[in-house]
Amino acid sequence: MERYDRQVRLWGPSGQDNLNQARVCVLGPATALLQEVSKNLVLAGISSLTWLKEKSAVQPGPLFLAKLKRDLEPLTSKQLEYEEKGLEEILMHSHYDWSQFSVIILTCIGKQTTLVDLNEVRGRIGTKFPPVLNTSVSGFYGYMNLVLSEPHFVLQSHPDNKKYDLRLQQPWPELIDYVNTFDLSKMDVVAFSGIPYIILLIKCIAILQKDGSTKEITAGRVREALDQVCLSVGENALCESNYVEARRYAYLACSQDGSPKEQDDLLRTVETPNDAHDWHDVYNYEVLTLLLVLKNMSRGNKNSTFQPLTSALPDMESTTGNYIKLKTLYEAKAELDKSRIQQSLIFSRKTVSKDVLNAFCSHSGEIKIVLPPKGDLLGIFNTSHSLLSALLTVQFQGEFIATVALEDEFKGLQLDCNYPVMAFFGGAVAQEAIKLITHHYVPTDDLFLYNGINNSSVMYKI
Amino acid sequence: MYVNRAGKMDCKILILGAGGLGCEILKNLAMLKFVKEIHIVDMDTIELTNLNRQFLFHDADIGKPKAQVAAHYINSRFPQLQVVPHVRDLTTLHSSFYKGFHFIISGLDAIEPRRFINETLVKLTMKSNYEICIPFIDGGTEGLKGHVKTIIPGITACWECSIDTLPSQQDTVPMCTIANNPRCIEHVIEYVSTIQHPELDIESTADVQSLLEKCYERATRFSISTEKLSTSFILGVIKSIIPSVSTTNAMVAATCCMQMVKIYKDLIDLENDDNFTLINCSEGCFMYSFEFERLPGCPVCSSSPD
Repeated sequence: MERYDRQVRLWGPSGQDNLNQARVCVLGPATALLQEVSKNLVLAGISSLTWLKEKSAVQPGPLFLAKLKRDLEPLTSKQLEYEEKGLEEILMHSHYDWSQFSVIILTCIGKQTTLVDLNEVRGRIGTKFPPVLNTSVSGFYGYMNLVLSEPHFVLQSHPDNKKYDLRLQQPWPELIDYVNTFDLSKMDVVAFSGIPYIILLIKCIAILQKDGSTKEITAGRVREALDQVCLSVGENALCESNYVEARRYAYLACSQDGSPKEQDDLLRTVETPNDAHDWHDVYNYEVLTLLLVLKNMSRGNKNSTFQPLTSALPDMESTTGNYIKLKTLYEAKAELDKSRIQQSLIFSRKTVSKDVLNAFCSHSGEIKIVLPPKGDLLGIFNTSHSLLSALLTVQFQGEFIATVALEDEFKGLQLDCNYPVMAFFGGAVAQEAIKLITHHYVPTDDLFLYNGINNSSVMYKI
Repeated sequence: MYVNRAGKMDCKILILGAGGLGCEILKNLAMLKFVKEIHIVDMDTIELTNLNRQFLFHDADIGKPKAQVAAHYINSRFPQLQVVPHVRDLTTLHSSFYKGFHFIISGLDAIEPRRFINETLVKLTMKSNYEICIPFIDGGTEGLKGHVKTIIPGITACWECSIDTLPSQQDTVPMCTIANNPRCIEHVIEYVSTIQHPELDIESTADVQSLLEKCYERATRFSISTEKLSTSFILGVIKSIIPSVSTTNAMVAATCCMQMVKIYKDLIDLENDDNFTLINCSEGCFMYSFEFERLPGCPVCSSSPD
């Protein structure tokens, strides 16, 4: 068992590799928040950390780590590549390589000019500028703002309830052949009990499509057909677990598989990607390339987008033999779909890495995208949210005089003893950085506001 | 009624568990100037897989007791604070020990010790007729999700009141499937480890290696894919290992500590506070709190003192 075992279970070995190779820039004055973010990232496996230090007249408050570099080093088994530089000097240096960083994290920036200067650099560099997480804490409140410069794709979004792509309504010829090998009328209950529910449902749909072909297929009609089919085996068939499963999952028979609407919309809006060199993160370029390949493959077929089948099959009541055979069919079709995409890639003279292609094919339908904001790093200032504007006032003007009406609402703004709030944001911001680096889980799009008085949060797009 | 006595004096806090949450809680408390004495209870020793989040421990500490190493880390750097370690099973500690604290914060990974401490604290409150009432703040994590429960014994919902909200034990697969119709590698592992070779010890590297071989054999016999099969995967299935990362631990531990700070500083109305908080960072970042009411027939907090 290795050091990262407990988190590799969340984002897999490839996600961990991305973390190990990432370069992170933290930018801001010496604060507990900056320390906490750095600590969490180094713990997670980040081994290259650059601190661009903003000069600040404000007292930093209690700090846990006495010396950042010395105290971070024992938290990783690798050699920590650590650099500490003055921010003012870097901002004057017009050729500084900002694109080297996987992500830039701004923590408790003290001067608004820092934000303005950085925003100017971002505008100049364009899409190659790394994703920025801007975060600050005042009293018991805090915010976090993600500012992307290119679309960010997530292939492994890990939805809480996985939706399997079973193609019950569109079985392919090999699957149909296999379904037809089961003749329920010549079967005893024991043999029946070993048939996976997927096969039963495909049979029912076929029956419904044969008679009243114009009528819509509903879960209720599928269940009626199921009872008829199963009763032909014998009344005892209705006590078998595979029958129970088929009844429970009958609703799957009327849900349309294939590409979700979100992805269709996305395909409609994406432009031809420019050169891979214009992208900050090749991963995003490769996913977009694959989406465009799908779009090309679907041309001439107006009704649906070509969607590669994922080979994932849920466990279900079945004999080993029947289940393995079914799984083999899904895997073979998934493999075939993947090779069609590969051919199409060759045809359009594009290449993508094997890892991205595999992840793309095995999670098609779960793909998520976060688009860059219409605004920029200064977008947070165009806010009508009273807590965010109060936070920004404290951050850049030092104090906030609440009107009597708002006094109670903002009672936590100038409270001390808020080290845990810094620690909270240290966790939240590091988590967002990890999502951006690994492309696992969906990042916050694009503002997160935290209220430590009533333990609540809001998330919205500026 | 609950009277906030803690606010008048230096604060003495007990932390249960010196794991991912415990390390974070201890560090956060050490940074609060009003906390003067902390006790920390944990019977476990440090393992390599702890080091991705339990930052008070380093490679050289592997094998040493967690509570002791954590206490030493803080004591050696923050001499104004006193941290006392207790390397033992918390269920063996008597209520006379627990009643000496102003707050108890837990970062445990099991249900039974939580039930134990909850019952102990509710009884203390009931028997003393509310003379003793120690807020108990409980944090838990799983992957990118977590929760915090704030329990004011005898006043707000206790840990037992919400026990029905726990997910039922993982879907169990019928034994006949495991034995006769295995379909996936998990079924194979279950059979090999519980039926075929229950004598193999999952703490021994050599035994886990032979488990791996037996699983490989059985999977091949049933034509089940061995793609996912590895020692780490086998241990994950047998021990039902819960994924854990520094970031979620930081957020949950911080939320526990903020509850303590707010109670200490009289910033919340304890009787009407949203005592349950959920955190989920798998899609965006989400934090939600609500009031969980006391269960009228709760076997722990609705019964009169015996």
